[in-house]
Amino acid sequence: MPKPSDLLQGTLDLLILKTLAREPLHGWAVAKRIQARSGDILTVGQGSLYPALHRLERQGWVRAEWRASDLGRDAKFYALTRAGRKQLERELKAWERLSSGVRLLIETA
Amino acid sequence: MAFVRRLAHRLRWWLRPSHVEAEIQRELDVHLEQLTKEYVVDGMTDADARAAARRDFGSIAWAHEHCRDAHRTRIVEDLLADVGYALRVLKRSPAFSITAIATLALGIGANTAIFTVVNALLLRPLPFDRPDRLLAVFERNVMADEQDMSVAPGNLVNWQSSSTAFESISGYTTQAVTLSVDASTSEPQRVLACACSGNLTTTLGIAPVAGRAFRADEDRFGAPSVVAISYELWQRQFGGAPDVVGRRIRLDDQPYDVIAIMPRTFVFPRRGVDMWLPLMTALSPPMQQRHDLHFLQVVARMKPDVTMAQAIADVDRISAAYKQAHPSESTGKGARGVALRDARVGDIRTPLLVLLGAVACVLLIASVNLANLLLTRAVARSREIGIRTALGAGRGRLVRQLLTESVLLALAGGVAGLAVAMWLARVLVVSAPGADLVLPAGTIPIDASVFVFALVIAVVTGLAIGLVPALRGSRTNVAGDLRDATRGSTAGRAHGRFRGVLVTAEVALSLVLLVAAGLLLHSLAELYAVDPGIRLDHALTVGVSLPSTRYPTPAKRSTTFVELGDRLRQVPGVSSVGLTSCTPLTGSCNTLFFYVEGRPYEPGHFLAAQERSVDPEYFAAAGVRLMKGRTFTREDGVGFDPAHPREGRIVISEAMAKTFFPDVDPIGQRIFFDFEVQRERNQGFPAPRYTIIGVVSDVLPTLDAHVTPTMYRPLLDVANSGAAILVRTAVAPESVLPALRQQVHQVDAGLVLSQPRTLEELVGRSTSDRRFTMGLFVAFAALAVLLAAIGLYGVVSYGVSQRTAEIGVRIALGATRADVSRLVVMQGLKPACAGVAIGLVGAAAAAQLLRTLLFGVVPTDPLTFALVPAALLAVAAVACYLPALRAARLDPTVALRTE
Repeated sequence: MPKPSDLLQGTLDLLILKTLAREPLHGWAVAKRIQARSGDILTVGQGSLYPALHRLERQGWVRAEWRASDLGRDAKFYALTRAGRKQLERELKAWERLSSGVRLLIETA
Repeated sequence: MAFVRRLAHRLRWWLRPSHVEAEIQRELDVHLEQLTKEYVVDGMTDADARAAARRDFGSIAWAHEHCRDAHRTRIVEDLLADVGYALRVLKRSPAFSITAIATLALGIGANTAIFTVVNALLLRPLPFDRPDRLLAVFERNVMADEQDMSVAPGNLVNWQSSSTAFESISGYTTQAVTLSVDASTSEPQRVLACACSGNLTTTLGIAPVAGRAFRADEDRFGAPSVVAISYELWQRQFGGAPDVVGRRIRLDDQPYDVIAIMPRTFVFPRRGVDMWLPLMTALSPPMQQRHDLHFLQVVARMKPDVTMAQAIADVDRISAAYKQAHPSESTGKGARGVALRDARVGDIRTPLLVLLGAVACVLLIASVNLANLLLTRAVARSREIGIRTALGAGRGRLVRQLLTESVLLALAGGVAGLAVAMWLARVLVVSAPGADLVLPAGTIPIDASVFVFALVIAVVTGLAIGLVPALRGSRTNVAGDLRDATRGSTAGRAHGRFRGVLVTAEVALSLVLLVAAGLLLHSLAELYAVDPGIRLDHALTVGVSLPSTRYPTPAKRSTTFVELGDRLRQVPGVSSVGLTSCTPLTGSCNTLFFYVEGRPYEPGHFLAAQERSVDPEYFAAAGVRLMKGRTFTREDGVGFDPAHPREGRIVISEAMAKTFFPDVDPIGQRIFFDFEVQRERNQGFPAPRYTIIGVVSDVLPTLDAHVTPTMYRPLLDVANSGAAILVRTAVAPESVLPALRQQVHQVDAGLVLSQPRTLEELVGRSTSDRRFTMGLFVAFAALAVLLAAIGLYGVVSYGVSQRTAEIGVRIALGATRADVSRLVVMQGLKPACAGVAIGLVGAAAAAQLLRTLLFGVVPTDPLTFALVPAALLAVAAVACYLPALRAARLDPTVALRTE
């Protein structure tokens, strides 16, 4: 199995926010969702997911609560806050600009 | 909301870190469990699955730690990063940085210097033990309504013996004495001595650095003469010799034993007092009981459990009881006390605090200029800030970064400002009003609080000047800024409005300062225009004192004064010489209570007037004009003999004639003195009558005092031991001094001419407090106006550069150069006019604060309030006109191309 490409610095936040945009999830589900949605192209480094979640929580972009889960025990669920939604939009825009720039460069250069 | 949540989150981490840690661990455990489960489903054993999960996950400790880090506030790391970045940014534009730091150094330095003086004189506790327990005590209502009368020895003795509220009460008075250390080797000299109660050191809680305090039995009449000397005198006169305690010196020709050296920091009652001697040794027992001779200052230490009100009530009761028992005596109807600090530096509080306010205004204006400059920079840096935003910097983070820059600038300015302050404080402390009451000579009173003050105002200034530019600068439209940093026209307009507000503030503040300076300047001009009643030019005053050992009788002193005057008149260059009891223009000389003969006599209900004794030649030498009658001749005084009093003669001032003899011709009226009535009662000498023989023109006690009723008695009759000699010269007054000394030594080689000063010098000294305040105010106001003008110029110039294209269009469409420059000038003058309007309101309020510092000028002085705004607007117009000129000279083709 080829090693999934490393996530570009800073894009992990975007992926997490995007993943949480639909519904509150716990860490395990976030990791699974990202992997599945990207067609197994993107794997979140297990070790870096949680620090990222905590960082987002500290920024006030997600809030967290412990409640019963499908895992058979309590898990910490993360949900997007209003500020988080705004941040997601900002990051999306920045990402679009960046990717379109990169594409332009690749196609024309 | 997000902010509140962030705060709550952080709070939880601070309050319960172990709880958060456990939570992280639990969360990671859930994840590991799921991984393990997946492997088990794949067919692994439990143990293998767990191991595989751990392998997949990587270091749990690493993840845990990074989760924890995410919660930690990275204050220190961020700060270091910010500081590093700020340093690089500031280094990249050295011209800006140096300008900013220099401006701040001046502003913070001036503030710190004034604070240093305020701190030393007003804030620091007096250098005595528990100084808040010390009171200055006065007699009150000796006459009618005056508050703080000096204390008579009888009252002091009563307080000392009967008061229950004080631990210790001390009286003191200052006098000049002639000191001869060693008759053979050194010239005798005049020094200031403080005659004080023997318990003064106990009252103040001070111990000598060498020797011992006075003993109780040394503070009584006829006790062996002992003296404590100042550290300064010890160094100056005795070269710091270790064996000086125990040496014998001569004061006014009497032997005294040196028993102590006082600490260097001991300034009491003021700087320049070099000796302390027990008060009562020189006061005969009848003198010690006198309640009508008010010449003592009193300091007292309250008992620990006594309040100030109780303590004052205690001495008030004692004095009131005495007055009730002796209603005819001219003594206080009670006593009054104030905290010693207020008694010493109460007068200088207003000028110093007003100065502190003024210098704060200067810093404010300087800050406004810098805020403006930073704002311009923030706009110019919008591309850089845009990039940082795109890279993920939050707004708060950007604001913090920009604030770090301004605070760093202000701190650098603060450090440089401290250097400025040290230098400035050294200069200021020499001439600051009241400094000679508190500070030992040659000290620079800088302590930790000065450093803290400088640090605090530096940080506050840094935050204040950086805040608005940082907020505005960080509010960026990333896409727009990255595309084009120069066309933010909406932001430009908002910035323009903000700049207008800054200019308004600057102009308003400078107007306040300028009006204050104008009022003080006008006061000083009024003061100098005052005619004191004495010709000031070509006049020298010196003091002389005849020691009682060699000049025991009034008759002997009287003939010596005549001889001295005659000899000094022979000196080439001297045109006339007059002798008087105390140096003119240095305040009141002596107050005497009197009754007018032929009017209803009621003991205790006397009149009061200033008294000065003069020799026959004094009036001519001083330039005091005879209005009516005659002045003294030598026959009017041969030395008074209380046992055989003759009819006395007296000359009065116009003010005295108007006040006490409004309807009658004063010439020929007879008066008699209360102190002689008391003496008649106590000692049996009949109180003599004094006939008014002349009326002379008024002389002011000091330049800024009102005309007060004054009477003149014949010096040759009174013949006290000391006199001031007024020498009128035809040449430069100082040049005759050596010849005067020589003549005096011909009479008696032991006589000393003390404190030679020209009258002009003397008047200069009496206005020095005013000149200090006024000078600083003028300096601050000038600085303020300069800064405001620079600020205005900067704003208008910036406006022109922003509107280059627009102006080009206007010119291309047919606007004349005059139109363009009018447009630019008006745009600059609008906020300036608003500033003047607001400033006028502020100035009117500030002028009320200055009220006590004004002389001959009302706080609403029309001249100042008319001239100052006009002048300020003129300066503003010039500041606007320069950039307007540049705008008008724009070449439209070039201007249009900048778009």
